[in-house]
Amino acid sequence: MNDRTMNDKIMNDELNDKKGNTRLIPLALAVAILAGLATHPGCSSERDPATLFGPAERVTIVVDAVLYVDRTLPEIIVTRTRAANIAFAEEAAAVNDAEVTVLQGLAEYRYESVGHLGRYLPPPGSPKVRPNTEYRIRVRALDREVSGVTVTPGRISLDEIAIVEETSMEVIRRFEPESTRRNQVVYREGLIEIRFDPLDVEAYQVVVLEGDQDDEGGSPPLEARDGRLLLPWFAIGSSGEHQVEVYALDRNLFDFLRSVEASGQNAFGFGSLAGDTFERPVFNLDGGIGVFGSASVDTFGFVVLPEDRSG
Amino acid sequence: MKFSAVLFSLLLIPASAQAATISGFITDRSSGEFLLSANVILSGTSLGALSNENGYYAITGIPSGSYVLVVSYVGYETYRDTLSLGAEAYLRRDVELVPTVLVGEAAVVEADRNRDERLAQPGFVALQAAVLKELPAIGETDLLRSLQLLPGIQASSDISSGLYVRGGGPDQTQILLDQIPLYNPSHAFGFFSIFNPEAIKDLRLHKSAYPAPYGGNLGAVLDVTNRDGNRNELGGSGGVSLISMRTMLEGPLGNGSFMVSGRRTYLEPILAYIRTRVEDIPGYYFYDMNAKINQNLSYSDNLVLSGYFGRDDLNLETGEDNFFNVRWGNSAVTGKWTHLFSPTLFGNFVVSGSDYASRLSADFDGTEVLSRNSIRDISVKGDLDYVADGEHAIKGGFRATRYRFRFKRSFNQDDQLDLRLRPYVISAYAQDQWQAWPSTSIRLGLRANYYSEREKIDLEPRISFSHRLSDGLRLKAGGGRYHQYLQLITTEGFSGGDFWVPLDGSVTPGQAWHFVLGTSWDPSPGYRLSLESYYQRLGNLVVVDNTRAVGSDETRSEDVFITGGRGYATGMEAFVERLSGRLTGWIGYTLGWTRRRFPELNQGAWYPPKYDRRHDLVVSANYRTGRWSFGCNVIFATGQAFTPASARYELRESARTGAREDYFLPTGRNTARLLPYHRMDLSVKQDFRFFGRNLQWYLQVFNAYNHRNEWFVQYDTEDDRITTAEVVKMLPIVPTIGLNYDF
Repeated sequence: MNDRTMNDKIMNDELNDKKGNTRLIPLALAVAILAGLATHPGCSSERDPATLFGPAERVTIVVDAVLYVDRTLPEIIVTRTRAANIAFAEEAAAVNDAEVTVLQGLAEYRYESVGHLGRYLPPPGSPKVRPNTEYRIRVRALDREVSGVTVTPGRISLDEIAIVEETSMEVIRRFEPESTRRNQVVYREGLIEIRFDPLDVEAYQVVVLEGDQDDEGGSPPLEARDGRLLLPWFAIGSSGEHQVEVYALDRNLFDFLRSVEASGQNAFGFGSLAGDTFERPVFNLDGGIGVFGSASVDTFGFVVLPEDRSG
Repeated sequence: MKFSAVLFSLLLIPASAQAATISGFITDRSSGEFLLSANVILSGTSLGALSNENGYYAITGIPSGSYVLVVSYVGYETYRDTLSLGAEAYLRRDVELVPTVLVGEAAVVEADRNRDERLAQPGFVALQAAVLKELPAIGETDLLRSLQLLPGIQASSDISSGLYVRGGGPDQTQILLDQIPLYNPSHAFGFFSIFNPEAIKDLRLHKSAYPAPYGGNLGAVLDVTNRDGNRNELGGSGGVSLISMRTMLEGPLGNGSFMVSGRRTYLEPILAYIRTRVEDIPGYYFYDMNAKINQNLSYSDNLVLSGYFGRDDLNLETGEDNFFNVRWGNSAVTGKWTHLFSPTLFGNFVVSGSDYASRLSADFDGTEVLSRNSIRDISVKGDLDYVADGEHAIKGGFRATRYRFRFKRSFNQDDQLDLRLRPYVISAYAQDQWQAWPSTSIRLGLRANYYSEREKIDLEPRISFSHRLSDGLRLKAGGGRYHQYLQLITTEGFSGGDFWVPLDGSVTPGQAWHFVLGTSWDPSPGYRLSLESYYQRLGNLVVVDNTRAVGSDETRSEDVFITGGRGYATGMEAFVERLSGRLTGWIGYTLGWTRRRFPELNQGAWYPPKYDRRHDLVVSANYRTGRWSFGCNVIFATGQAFTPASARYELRESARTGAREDYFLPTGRNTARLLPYHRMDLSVKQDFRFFGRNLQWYLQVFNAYNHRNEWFVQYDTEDDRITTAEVVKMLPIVPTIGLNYDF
């Protein structure tokens, strides 16, 4: 606004000031009433947390079964969903009286219930899982039937694990595949590169186990069409012995891991940001949820030495 | 092709013989700024025109005789002059309008009630910067946040300046600054827009059914024009708030003017102080600069050079080997030449370049993460305005844009993706503004786009219609077809990492049909009521596929996106304005439905996007008395949609058998609602003089009654295996003070 306009405006406004001030009273009163009403506890009441849950989904069977190539048929766990807003009890969720069958070609392998926690074991003497082979599952429980199909991936074999220089990516030295103790690396000495013949799979998952711990989470599904994976150092929490497992994932396992990851449930606890990423994972099962997948796996070990900060 | 034939025949209509023409430029007397969309009429006739973006108008087909020329513009005294025109006369009449106090009684604009039908088009809003400055704000005046107070426009949260217009997301709204597209119009992760309020002259918003000169987006168009600069005297303005300082300097230069403005935050010392007491506080700043030089080469030629440059920078260091840094910013330069070929033919030619870059880098315990996106475009654009006769104003033009995209992502020294694309878009359009009857204006347009990746021409017919039923009462309708070739990939609540990718030939670009029907009524000079309904049908929508494997080097659009989306948005908007007097403001209400459907999402079922709002009510009032001005906004809206958890289950967390994880099973997407949103903002301002300078101090209170509105829901499982649902709240009461000044 230029000077002249501003001056005119102020002169006019001054003439109206007295009249304006009396007019101001109702406005101030209105604002005070509005503010008073608004600050009434009713405007800031907390909602009942129960209203944040949707209607409980009817009981759904949850199957957890992953076949590993060259290993015997695995344990299978059958549970059911529980309402989201009540305390979760493993025993209450367990389904111990299901009929669990794995089928391969004309062969049927009927599982036996352990009797608790929904655990089922394969029949004694069941064969090892074959690569590039179709397996099916059938679970009958709670008057429902769940079924699914997996095609196992080929065998994965880690050909070479090397420490490479961070910028030039030149190999500093190579690990011995069969020896954990001899594979020693100083923390952040270089990048750990894993090389293998790529398989016809969608993705791989890397799991790093520290010492004797066995509950480490895995990486997101990694596409490595060139048969090359670089291990990030933030996956190495401390010095000591580490075991790395590299899984080649079948379609079902890949779909579940990628979709459960994307739904944000494991991402910084920021899972349901008003609904944009909170999506039902891809289960690839008929009649229930969970995963019936397969994988092939190879491992290697190494020892991380503390970083020498003395010089 | 009937439509094209009609359009072509209209283009051939010759100027009327035996009729007079009057033309000229409309400017602000105090500053010499061109005034766009000023209403020029010959009183008592149906003849009239609107000034174009360069302040130029022309009225042709005037029978000889005496007339009263009336020129009106909100915030200016109405100009009247008696003219006598002979047959075939060409009269040049430049008009300087005298500004009035915007909110005073004198601001009633007589001709505005009888405003040109061409201005009364559906879905169109024109606002001046002065109006925006009067609205209560958070921290400081913000263009995009102020627009969120209009019906049909929503915000996603208190901290977002993103525009959700009539059911469209921010990626569907094209934002232009001096005719240059801006790819990320936000600072501070969406908290502020990049528009410096000191530099803005006015803005035009097409909420839907936008006309043929615009293209490239499925939703709305926001066209912002910066000030040209004061041609008469050196001066400036600025302001100081708790967050930033801004200033603008303008004045005569040669045979024209210049304007330069800048803004920068000064949060660093405050953040540094907090950092000494609280860990993990990042350093952050943003700045932006606008500059414009305007030169009259002759009466018929004008040259404008303008530029924008802005940057955001956030840096967080949490340890010796851990940092997180994100930077983004737009740069844009434009050269514009306008030429008056004849009193009835006006040309506008632009060469522009725009550069948007975002860079996210981080290092976590020696693991480097880098994501870079850049878009550079060079455009050549031309527009011709031809006033064929008293009934037809023809507009035609072209735009050719060459893009250079790059998106690079690397993780742990491994280049996972390096996408480079150089598509181009060539567009041409023609439009006829046809005064079919004295009370009826029809705008017919056709735009054709050629997108190099698609190798096909997309035709986009556009039409709008305005009919005066009686004095002050109008019926409006419009529609059109739209395409979008660039796709924004964004993270809600974190606009710094936004990036754009062009769609390639593997997917069909998104398209939309818009339909608008409405009415407006000016019952008295100081009031305006409007009622508008809209329907938008969208097809070939895409959303980014978050479930892709990490490290995937697939760059084809069909691999990057979930495709085949459909959607619609429909609703009704009611808007009541009081335009003059001590108390000014509006009441806006929107009733709306927005739905989306993707074969691969929500099990293929329709769902409301989170910004779907059934009800949205805004009351915005400003009361001026003497030197004081009081503002108040009251907002009430249906709560955002969210997806609640319906069940819980336990399953493995990796391919390895062993560790198990608790998961939640969602219900259908966005089937629940957060509590209704409501808030009141207050402001008080006082003008005063200090050492001969005009100053204004202000106190603004955002969320005056401290209602913590719900933002999103977060589920968590505690150690005792009880699930809790926590609602994360939005901003509490935020009072701010500041000072504005003129010099």
